[in-house]
Amino acid sequence: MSTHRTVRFTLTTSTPRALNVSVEPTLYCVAGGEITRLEPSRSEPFSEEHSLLFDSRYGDTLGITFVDLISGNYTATLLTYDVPETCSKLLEVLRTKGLEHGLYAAVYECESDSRVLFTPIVAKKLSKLSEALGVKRNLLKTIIPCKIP
Amino acid sequence: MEKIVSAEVRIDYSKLLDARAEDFEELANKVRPKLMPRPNVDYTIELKHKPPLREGETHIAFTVSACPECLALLTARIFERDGKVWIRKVCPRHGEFEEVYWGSYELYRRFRKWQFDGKGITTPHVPLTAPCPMNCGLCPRHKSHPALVNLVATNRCDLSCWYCFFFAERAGYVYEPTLEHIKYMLRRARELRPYPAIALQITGGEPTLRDDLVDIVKLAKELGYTHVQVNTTGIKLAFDPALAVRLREAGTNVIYMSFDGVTPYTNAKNHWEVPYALDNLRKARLPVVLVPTVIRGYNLHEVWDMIRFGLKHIDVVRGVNFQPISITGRVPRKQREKMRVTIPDVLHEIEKQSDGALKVDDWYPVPSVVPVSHFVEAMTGEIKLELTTHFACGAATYLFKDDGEIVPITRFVNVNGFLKYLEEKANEIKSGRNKYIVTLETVASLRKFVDLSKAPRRLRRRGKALRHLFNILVKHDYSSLGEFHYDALFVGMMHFQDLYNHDAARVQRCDIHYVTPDGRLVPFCSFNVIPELYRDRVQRAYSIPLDKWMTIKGLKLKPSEYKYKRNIKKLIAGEPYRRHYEGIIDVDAIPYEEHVMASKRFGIPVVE
Repeated sequence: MSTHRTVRFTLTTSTPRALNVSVEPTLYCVAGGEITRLEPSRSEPFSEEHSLLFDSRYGDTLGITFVDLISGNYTATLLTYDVPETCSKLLEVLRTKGLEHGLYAAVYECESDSRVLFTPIVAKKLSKLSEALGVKRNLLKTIIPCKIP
Repeated sequence: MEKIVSAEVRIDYSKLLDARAEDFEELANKVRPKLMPRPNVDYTIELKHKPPLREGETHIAFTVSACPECLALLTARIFERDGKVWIRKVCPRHGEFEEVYWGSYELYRRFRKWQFDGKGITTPHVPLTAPCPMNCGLCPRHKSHPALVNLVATNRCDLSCWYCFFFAERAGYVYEPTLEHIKYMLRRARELRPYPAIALQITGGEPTLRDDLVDIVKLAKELGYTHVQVNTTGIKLAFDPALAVRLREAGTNVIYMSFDGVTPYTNAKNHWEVPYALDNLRKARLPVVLVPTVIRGYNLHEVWDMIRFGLKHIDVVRGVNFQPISITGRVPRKQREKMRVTIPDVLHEIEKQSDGALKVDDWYPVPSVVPVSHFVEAMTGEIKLELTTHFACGAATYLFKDDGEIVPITRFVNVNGFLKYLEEKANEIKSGRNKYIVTLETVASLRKFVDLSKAPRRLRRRGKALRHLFNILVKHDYSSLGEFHYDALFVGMMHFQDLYNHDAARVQRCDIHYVTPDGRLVPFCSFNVIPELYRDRVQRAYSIPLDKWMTIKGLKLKPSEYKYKRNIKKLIAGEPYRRHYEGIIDVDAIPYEEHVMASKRFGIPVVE
């Protein structure tokens, strides 16, 4: 069984740019065209040691880096998930506030932990997401925490 | 390829003189990972300790910085005290470092409102493996695409300025990538997405020492660089009018010329040659940007005179771009305080020296122009160049000459209102409003932001100022931008960092990068601020020892014999010298002996 780590955080900062953001990740396991929600097996306080993990998750996707995080007032929790061996891909759904979109999706290959897709969750991107995961579009609609037409 | 790379990443470059661009690519892919900064060898991570906040200080933000002694990554505190902005960090081994970050908190707050972040890099040249700024290349977390890429064409120089450690004789090696190697490097910068590099600065050392400089310019143009500038002392151009013509014909857009003051005391580097270089560039129709490095106690008192000099020669000088000093090496605090000057300090000096002709309020931070990019992007649906550098990195304005009077752009354009309006309109288009309706509204509103009665006469006629803005924003006709600039002097400021005021938040937003021989793009303030891990490491790896290089080139002279020697008597007796400086300084008031002394003290010998 492998693990997947990510960070839940809130941030309010004014320097160098004003940000008032919260990011709440939810993780799903994709196996054989099915998708199931995973719960974190561990939650622990975020520390400076996790700066590289933070940058790898959000630096190039949300454009928020560890340097941005520590610039202001923040709360952050490191979430660790045990990933069943049956999972071929992971879907991380980010529910956000204070960013351009309210929902983002990141798809990871389980074997390499490499991200193969990052996209805001909007109706027109859903087919792409469904293709990347190998999961039917209708099935995705049932698990994604928002109303998509 | 394996055979020519040693364990310490020293490449036998003499064996690569005939290699093709593809060979350099293959080699770069092998050596790049070995040239990256190594954790626990080159630096440590000590982010746990937060520097204290003391009485009378107001906290602004935390950031990441490096220890000036050991390069450990530290948490730094940015705070306000006595109306200034400071940065403080504590290294567990080397103690506390405190430095003025910006000379005015009031201006800091005004500039901060204009921060926009960029779209980042979708094709990073290095994977994310280390914390910022020990992962430069550009890494996936970098926030800005390049606005200007620097290419070091050589580390040879015909001067030996006392403060410089960069040139070949002091380094002990020659770094001079071949034309095929440069082809590989320039291609790499063009590969960047979402926005490839389009502007190139060829720098050195002294790039005019290369016989094939014109070929490098041609190559850059062939590869799609629309703007090419050459960064030089101008000394060779002063004596070689044909070089100016050849550079212009090859496609050079601008000469970026060092110019540290209007007197021999402040500008011993090229005071005497500048008039001759300007004449040759004028004849070649090749514009110039003057680049003064500003140092407190040295040339800060001449900042307005330097602008006046630019305005006097506005037929060839397009801009003056000040660079407040970046203090390299280990320098004690007292000594730093004597030299340190920041952007607000220079702006206040300019206001004082110009008797208010150019005020602090006339300046805007570099990212303030991002709304123009956003608006044009929303209109066209194409990604545009965005200057999303950190607000504390630079400032700029435009000065127009109107019948001898100087008119800053802010006196007839409501810059604040105009940029905010464009950003609103861009957001409206983005959220689905019909762009043609938004365009009509924008055109109808332009008049609101331009007071034609205060505009320079040239722009007043038949509402020319408005027509130029309309052409730029709606028709995307950039020749209008050129016309708008005509008779205008760009005045800018770019404060490169050093290890004392170093802020990783600025590095992450840097849009001036160096392309390295292993195909990385390294932000200016990593390349030059941490030279041992970036500039020197990679250039030494791709160099040829000086003796060997001289043998290859068939040179027998000692370095001192081929260095530039100045004939001051001849230069000050020439008509161009008087014509250029008249009205700026009293050219007859400086005795010949003082000219000579200034040059020699600086490290440039004089033909007596």
